[in-house]
Amino acid sequence: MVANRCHDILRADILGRMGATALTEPAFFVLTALAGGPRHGYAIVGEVAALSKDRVKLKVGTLYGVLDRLVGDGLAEPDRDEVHEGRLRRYYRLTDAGRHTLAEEAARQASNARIANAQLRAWRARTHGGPA
Amino acid sequence: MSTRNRLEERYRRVLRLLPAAYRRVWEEDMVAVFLATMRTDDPEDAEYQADYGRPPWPEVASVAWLAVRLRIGTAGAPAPRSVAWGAALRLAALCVLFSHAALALDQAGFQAWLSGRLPLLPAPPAEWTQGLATGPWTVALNAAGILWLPAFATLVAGHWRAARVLAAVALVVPAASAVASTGIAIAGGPQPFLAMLWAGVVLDVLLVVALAAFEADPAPRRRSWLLALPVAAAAAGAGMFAAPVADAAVLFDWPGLSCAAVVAGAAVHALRGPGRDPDWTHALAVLAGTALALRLVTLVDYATRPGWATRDAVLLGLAESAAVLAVLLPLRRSTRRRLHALS
Repeated sequence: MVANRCHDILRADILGRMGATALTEPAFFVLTALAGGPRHGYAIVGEVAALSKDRVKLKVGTLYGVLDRLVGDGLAEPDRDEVHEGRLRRYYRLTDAGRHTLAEEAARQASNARIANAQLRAWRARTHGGPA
Repeated sequence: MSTRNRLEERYRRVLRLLPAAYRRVWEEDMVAVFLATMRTDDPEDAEYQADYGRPPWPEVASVAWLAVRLRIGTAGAPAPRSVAWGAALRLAALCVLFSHAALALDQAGFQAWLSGRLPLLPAPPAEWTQGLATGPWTVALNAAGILWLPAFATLVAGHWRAARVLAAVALVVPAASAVASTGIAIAGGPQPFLAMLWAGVVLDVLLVVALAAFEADPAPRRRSWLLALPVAAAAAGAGMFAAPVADAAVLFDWPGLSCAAVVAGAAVHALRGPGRDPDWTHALAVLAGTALALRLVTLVDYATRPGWATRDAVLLGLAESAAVLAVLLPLRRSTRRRLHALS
């Protein structure tokens, strides 16, 4: 009884510290790839490379670290399984929470870009005397 | 159902680095994606690849890194056990970086004193300043040692990625020094303390890896550690100055100091009673295990150097090991109980 109680307290303590962390660049691109529709792992790798113009090339270990986290956080979920050349292909899709998170992150990055561009325009106007 | 080729078998062997629970969920998916990325249109190439191909190093590295991150709770959907490991490793890494920074502070002060830049202090003995090495190699080693100070400061300020970069840079020169010293020793040159050199390099590599645990909790709430730094540096400095006087270098070398610090830390922790933080118990178990391994490995240097170290010095080192073992066993028992409760 006491041992079970200790177990529960320890679990609650640990789980309480497991907060959500910020969206990394690979996670951002995986969510963006899934925003185009359900995709299997290999298609996600290709889509992320295409979307980032080959800047982000996901290794398999990286992709499944990200997918596991996204599924665990409820931002993505399995869609369906298909057999392709004798192997099972699992498709993943974006959840509503995933769509919301991606929209928030995109807005945050767009806002940061607007601020940086405004600062750069002001700097150019000061140093070159051109129009702001 | 497809038959497995040698390439697939090799990749599955790499995947064994991952925790079993993770593999149960993701292994088939990962194998399918990996094989798809390795596919080639040329049938001859494909046949060769299937028989003789090996997973490329970047793919192996990504799986190895995922395995580390899963176990410290910074990748995937972390299990409570991994979160507990992550918290303990954060504290242990902070302690190791703290001790490096304290020794770096001592080193900086000592160098300044020897070179006459501290006029308020009495001048150092002449024999200490004669023949002082000033070559580029010594300068690089000293500069690399000083880097532990900003690495520690950036970590306690919450910038763990910057701290990891600084720690990795600080590691390059000692690693190069260990490789060069080993080469010289093999070629029949002077025999430096090789076990000590390599133990330091391995410890620092582990530290750089462990700093990744801060990804899960980078909050800057550890500034009080900065205040403790000069106190620790003064204590370590006093110990190092006492070494030549007491003629017991083995007691005051850095593995010896690490043993003393861990035993003192465990004693303070035990005095806190039942309300003690379980993360600290776990971290102290990690530190005690590390200090014990360091002490035993570095004793080889003393034991294999006839005429330099006395039998008493080796016995003293063994006594340090026994003291660490005495605190390690109860810490390990508590930690295992906790991890069992979390699984």
